[in-house]
Amino acid sequence: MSAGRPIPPAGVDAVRRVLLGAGTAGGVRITDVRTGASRRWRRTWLDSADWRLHRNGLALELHRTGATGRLVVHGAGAGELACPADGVTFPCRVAGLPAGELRDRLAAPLALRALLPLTDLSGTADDLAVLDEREKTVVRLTLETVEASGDPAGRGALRLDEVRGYPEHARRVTATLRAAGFDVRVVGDRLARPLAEAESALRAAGLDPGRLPGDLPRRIAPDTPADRAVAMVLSAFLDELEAAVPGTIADLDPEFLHDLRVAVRRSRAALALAGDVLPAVAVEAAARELTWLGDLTTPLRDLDVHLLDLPELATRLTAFAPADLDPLAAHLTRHRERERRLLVRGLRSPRFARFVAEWRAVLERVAAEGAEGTAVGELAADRVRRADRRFVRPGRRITDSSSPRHLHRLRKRGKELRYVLELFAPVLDRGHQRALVRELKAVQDVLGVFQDSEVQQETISGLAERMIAENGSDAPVPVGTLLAMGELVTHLRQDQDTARAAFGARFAAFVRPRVRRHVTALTPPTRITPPVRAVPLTRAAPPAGVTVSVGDAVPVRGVGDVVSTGGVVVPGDPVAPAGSGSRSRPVGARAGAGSAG
Amino acid sequence: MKVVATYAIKGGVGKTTAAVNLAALAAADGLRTVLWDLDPQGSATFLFRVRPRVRGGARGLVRGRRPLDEAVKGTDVIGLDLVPADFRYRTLDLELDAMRKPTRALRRLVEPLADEYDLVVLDCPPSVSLVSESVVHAADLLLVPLIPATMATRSLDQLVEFLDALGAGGHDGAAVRRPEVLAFLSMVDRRKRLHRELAETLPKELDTISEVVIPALSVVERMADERSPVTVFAPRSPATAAYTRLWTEVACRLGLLEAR
Ligand SMILES: Nc1ncnc2c1ncn2[C@@H]1O[C@H](COP(=O)(O)OP(=O)(O)OP(=O)(O)O)[C@@H](O)[C@H]1O
Ligand SMILES: [Mg+2]
Repeated sequence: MSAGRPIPPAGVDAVRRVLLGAGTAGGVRITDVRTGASRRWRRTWLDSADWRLHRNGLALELHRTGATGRLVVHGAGAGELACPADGVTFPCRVAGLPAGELRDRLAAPLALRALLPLTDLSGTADDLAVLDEREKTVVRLTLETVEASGDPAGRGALRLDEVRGYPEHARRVTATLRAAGFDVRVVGDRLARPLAEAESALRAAGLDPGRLPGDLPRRIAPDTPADRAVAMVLSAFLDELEAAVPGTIADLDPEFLHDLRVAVRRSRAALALAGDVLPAVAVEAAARELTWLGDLTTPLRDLDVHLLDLPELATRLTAFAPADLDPLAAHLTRHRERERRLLVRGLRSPRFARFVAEWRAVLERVAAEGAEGTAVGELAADRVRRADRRFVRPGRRITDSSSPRHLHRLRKRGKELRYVLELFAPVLDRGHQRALVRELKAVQDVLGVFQDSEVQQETISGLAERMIAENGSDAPVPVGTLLAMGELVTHLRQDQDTARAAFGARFAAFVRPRVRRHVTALTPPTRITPPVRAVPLTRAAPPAGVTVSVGDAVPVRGVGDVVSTGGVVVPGDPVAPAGSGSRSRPVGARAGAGSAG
Repeated sequence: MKVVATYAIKGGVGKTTAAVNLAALAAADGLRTVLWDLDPQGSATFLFRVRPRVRGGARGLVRGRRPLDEAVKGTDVIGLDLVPADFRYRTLDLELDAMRKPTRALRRLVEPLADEYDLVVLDCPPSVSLVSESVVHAADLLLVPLIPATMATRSLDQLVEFLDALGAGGHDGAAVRRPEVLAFLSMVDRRKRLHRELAETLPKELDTISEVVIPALSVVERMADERSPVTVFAPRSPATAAYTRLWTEVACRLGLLEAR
């Protein structure tokens, strides 16, 4: 409502008075306004932890009036859908919603994610019927008053439901009430109104719709000192990590654990690729704890991935029935429960709490006080150039006779390049950065399938052995199950061959001149001086027996394949050991969110 | 989308009353429902306080110049819309006759509503005519009120004969779809022995006659004063109970609701 309009007196009576005083105009006459009973209502907004509905232009509300509940979804071009919500409690996965159109609509955007209650509003609602000279209802109004909304006169908003076939009456009532200063929302404006309402309710609750904890800070500029910028980025990753912990512990959906691991992976990669601008001892301590967290979460994630993939794999069986794989699913589920308990214990441990507190303190200090001589823009250009070179050179050497090992290693280098491009995204040219990421992804996809299908073949063979060993001779694993698993291995082998055959063309596309232009644009010449550590360390002391001197290369994981390149430490794989759930989401990948996979 | 038509060769037997109440019950069950008042006298239209006028009249509709959905009006019953009667429907027969395939006309007009509605209820005028042929062809179910009388089943027999004849070829020679027929005893007066007996025996004799009986009740007559379906203004009355049973049977036959 714009300023300068008269403020109407509160309530239903005011609405009546305004409408009855309007007289006849344009052949439209209002003879009476009948009021119905007053109802109390409560509305809760729901979304996944990563705003999947919001990102798809949807708003989901739980409306409660008295004892009954209704779920209503608005937006994304298809108007409004609703269904009863009796007996549904949140958080809740898609499968827990009542079957029907509304559930079908949410299934694709939500995929595996649970719906969480985000914020709610409550108030009263009064129905009014506007009658014409035949005393027929020609417009329906609902006066909704929101409690504790800072609405001074408590006058609320009027929802106007047009009665079909009476558009002139609706226009007239809307105009009359608006002229008197009422906030009239026409229910037909289905797209704009509820989405704007959801947005403002969420903001009022202190939420930032659509923003993820791991999204990079908007304050970073190319001339920000490198250490500050890197600390800010790592803080965002730590936010992401922390945000995923409660959902992981409560096991709301498998994506919380995935998010947690993405945060760990991104943090480790950032330390490996740009950690040299931060205090060495703190980096060393954080890297150790992040490695621990990676290892702690790997077994459960592996089981999740197998369980999630199983239905899809089962549909590919031709010689055997999907049901033949049931014993495998049961085996995985049993193990999952045990691994989950171990993970929860770890996330509740003093060690985890201490890591988060200390790492956060270091990052905040550097972000506030850092004064690294190099600007982050220069650092970015330098790191992109190196990472690109480390990917392209060995890539060119790969031939049809190269061993799988070379392809696996190239995938790791590709991941490093991807991480660098994401890490420094705030200071890189958006167009070139995006284009290069897209081209890189095309190569990484085939390398991913090549490696993942190999890993899965090994895993299934390994699982078969474990099942045989665990079941013993009293309850032997059904032969059908083992044979079906064998068939799966065959399919996976075919996937791997297909990916191998596709690699050459994809890589050639990546090194063609048009793509090289993006690299050149992203890497203007720089003169990087050796980093100077400006922040004295206070909290994290080096572990006993390890002396770390300024400027030392800090191994992030393992020792064997650490390569030091002029102060940049690049471990063989800052991500995860091969085959340890290093894959990105198997189902319903987070749209547009730069998950580092 | 399913189409139900209340239909009888005789007048004043309770067609409109049944059409209005069943439509209101369907809407209350969450079905998107539209009632088309085909009777130029417009009793249903009057009941819903809607002006009995359709822009373009019968000619505009039949010639397809005005799509049916432009004529639709929302009623005071949430979920129930109405296509009002128009005095000019008197000429509907003539208009239909002028067309190439008159029998199919009504069905063609109703079909575009399928996206918007789950149920169409046609309230027909009392006569056997071209409109009726067209109604028969459009309907999935004919709902036939019968007044308990010794000759009551005779009019049902006549109807069945008429339907059989249409199956062989209607007015324009083309075969007409054969809708399901459900008759029910209407305005049954429990104080009359004949009514009691016929209500008892007829449903057993003919399986096209429903077990559900609509009693004669003064609360039903009040609909004209209340200008509302009895199911809305007297939800706990025996009349509402009887129409609810009838609606359940209709809905089950049409597969609109799971058996309750
Ligand atoms: N069950 C009932 N009990 C008492 N009165 C009834 C009942 N059903 C209908 N009536 C009354 O009988 C009269 C005729 O009913 P209705 O208009 O439904 O019949 P109709 O078959 O549609 O008539 P028409 O052939 O004129 O269209 C109305 O006045 C109505 O109120
Ligand atoms: Mg009638």
